[in-house]
Amino acid sequence: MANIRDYYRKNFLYEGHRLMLPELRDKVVHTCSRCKFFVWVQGRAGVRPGCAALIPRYASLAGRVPEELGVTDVLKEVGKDGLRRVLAGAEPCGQACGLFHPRSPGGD
Amino acid sequence: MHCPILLADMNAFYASVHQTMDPALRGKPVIVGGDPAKRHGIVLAASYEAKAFGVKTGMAVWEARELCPHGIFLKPAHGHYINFSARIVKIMKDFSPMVEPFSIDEAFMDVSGCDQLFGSSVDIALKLKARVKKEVGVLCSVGIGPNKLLAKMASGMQKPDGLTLMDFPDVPAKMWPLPVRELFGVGFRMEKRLRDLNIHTIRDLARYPLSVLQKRFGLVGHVLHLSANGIDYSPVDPHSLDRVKSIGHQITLPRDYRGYSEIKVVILELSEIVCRRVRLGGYVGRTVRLALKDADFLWMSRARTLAFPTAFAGDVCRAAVELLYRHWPAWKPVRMVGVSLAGLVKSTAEQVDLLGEDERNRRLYAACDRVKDRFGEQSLLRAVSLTPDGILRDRGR
Repeated sequence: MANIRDYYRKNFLYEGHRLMLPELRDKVVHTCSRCKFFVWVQGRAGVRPGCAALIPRYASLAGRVPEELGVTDVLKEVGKDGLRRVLAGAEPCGQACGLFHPRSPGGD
Repeated sequence: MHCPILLADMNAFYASVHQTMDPALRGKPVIVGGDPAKRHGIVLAASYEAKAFGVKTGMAVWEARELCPHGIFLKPAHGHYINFSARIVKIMKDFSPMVEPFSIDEAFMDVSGCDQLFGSSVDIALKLKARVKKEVGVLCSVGIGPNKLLAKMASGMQKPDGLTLMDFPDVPAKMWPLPVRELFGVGFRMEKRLRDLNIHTIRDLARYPLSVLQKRFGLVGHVLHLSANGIDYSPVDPHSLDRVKSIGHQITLPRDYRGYSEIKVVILELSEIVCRRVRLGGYVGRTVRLALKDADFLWMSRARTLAFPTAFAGDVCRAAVELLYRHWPAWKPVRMVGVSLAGLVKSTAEQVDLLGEDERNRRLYAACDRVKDRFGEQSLLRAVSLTPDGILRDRGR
């Protein structure tokens, strides 16, 4: 620590007192698209981002979360209202939500 | 004066989360504490209804039971607290991208330049409080100041559900009469050292000659002097959590462990947890630290730097066990064990070993990670976790 300017610039006063749980750090640092539950939902007219954590089959980790899901598969699993929730649940550039689970570095 | 820094501090956060999730608990004395049977018998949070009976954070659970026998005692649910906390940070980021989480229930926010969008910092604080109450269901106290220190000091002045603005002219009246221990950055050890200099209040510290403080405490003395006068140049750093310096895990054991064979089991289990987190972050690290606490709560912490960076539990465990043999006598009982890996760097390139041992390990751990990613952390355990000394199996139940 060279001088008082560095002390403040490097935020030492707060860094030393910060208490952060790794799981919370993950949720705060990462974006939604870094989550293992983030999927692309393929429809007839286009592809939209979705959240697989809102599909019970994937939320329970019973099935591997694929990169892309067909809209008919989602409809079969959760119905029309569920599909709406799945599509509304993803925000690729937004902060990760409480359901965030980091994608493993090598992919799932 | 311009006061763009806000600190949002959730009130009795853990207890509030339980009261939000279960409406039947609202208005009742809720106490969140560890399980005394597992020697985690400390009160982590108490609702304001419980605080009225004298229950305080950090008090022993048995003591809290005596003060508040009809209180509702709950075990902590960290997963829920983390989810609530992440939701609150997300709301804060709707006002300004300059948000610095400080702990699970506190975050700083710099709203400079947001007045055209959301109004003054007081307007923003009111909007933030309303949104957190409506969308998350917990109350928060907000401190507003021209810098982080004054925002932090202000947030503690009115609880629960408070809103306090502290500007430089308020410092002599609001901050100086407080005991020096109340100043952010002064712990109980520093308080003792300041008391030796006849410094008891923040006013005493603010008026103490800077040269003496600097001579006695060096740079920290200068910082203390500035802090006592309400001066703080620290920025709100939204990237403060991007930099990971070390990843560690520590655990209080259900009983005192004696002898190397028992402690080694826990070290291996902790190494597994730590290395799994290190791999999830895409890091490798070189410095292994082992921390142990004995039955009399005395600490020992030693570190060793490896010749090569690693993210494998076997390597970390070997180094930690070596530290154990070197620095801890076998007869001494252990109450708490911690293992951490520091000197982290991104695992972009690695040294290839001639015998292919690393490659075998890498493939083995990658396979284990895939299983855990899919079926959960408890799906795959080391065989030692099934022995009576193992701790991970019980934690999963």
